[in-house]
Amino acid sequence: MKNDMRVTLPLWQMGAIVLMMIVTVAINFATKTATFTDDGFEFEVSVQGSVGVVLGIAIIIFTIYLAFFLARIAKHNKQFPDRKISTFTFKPQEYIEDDELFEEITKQATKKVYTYYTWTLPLLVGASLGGFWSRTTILFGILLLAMGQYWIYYRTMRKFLVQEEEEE
Amino acid sequence: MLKNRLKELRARHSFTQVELAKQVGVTRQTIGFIEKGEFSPSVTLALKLAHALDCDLNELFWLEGEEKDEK
Repeated sequence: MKNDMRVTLPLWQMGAIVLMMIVTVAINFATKTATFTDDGFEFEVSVQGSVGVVLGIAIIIFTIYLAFFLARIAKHNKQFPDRKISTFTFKPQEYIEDDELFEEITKQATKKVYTYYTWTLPLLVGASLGGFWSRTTILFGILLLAMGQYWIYYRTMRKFLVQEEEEE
Repeated sequence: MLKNRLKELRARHSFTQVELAKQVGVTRQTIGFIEKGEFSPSVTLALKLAHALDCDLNELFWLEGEEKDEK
């Protein structure tokens, strides 16, 4: 289990979300929106100066990150041909359902995530309805919630795996 | 709570956790967690374990309250 990428997959997702947060903030500084009285609006993107540099670096890092991620998946699939990770599939690949024990642990972790969203999503929607948050702040909030989801899932699985690693 | 004698009976048959796990089609971790009493197996798995260890299901698993009656 130590080198099984299905365990660390949520951490990879969290890393991608951090990069998305940087891009979100950079795009916020690079865009201007103007609303007109005839219901029209104007959207202007200006990638200049430090914002352009931050956005450029973030996109380059994201591309490198994606390449590393895909290389790591290829390595995992070579190492564990019977537990392959599919890159493009609807089913979250961090689910570990090798047998009934792992199905149970995965169920526990997903239940925790469900409980987490049951509380945090209405709170985020409620806070957004206040009208004080900008579009970027709301997007940032959604990305933070997604990070929380992966962290909860990872911690739950890790807690169980640490126990079994100690026995090995 | 479900109690068991899996570790004892496995040792009697000189099986490692990996060997027993392979026989019944689960991971080594599952055997370890059942032995520690931290995971209750399904009826199917319990029957497979009893079969692999050549014993009755009641001999392998029992409910905590019934422990005194059984022993």
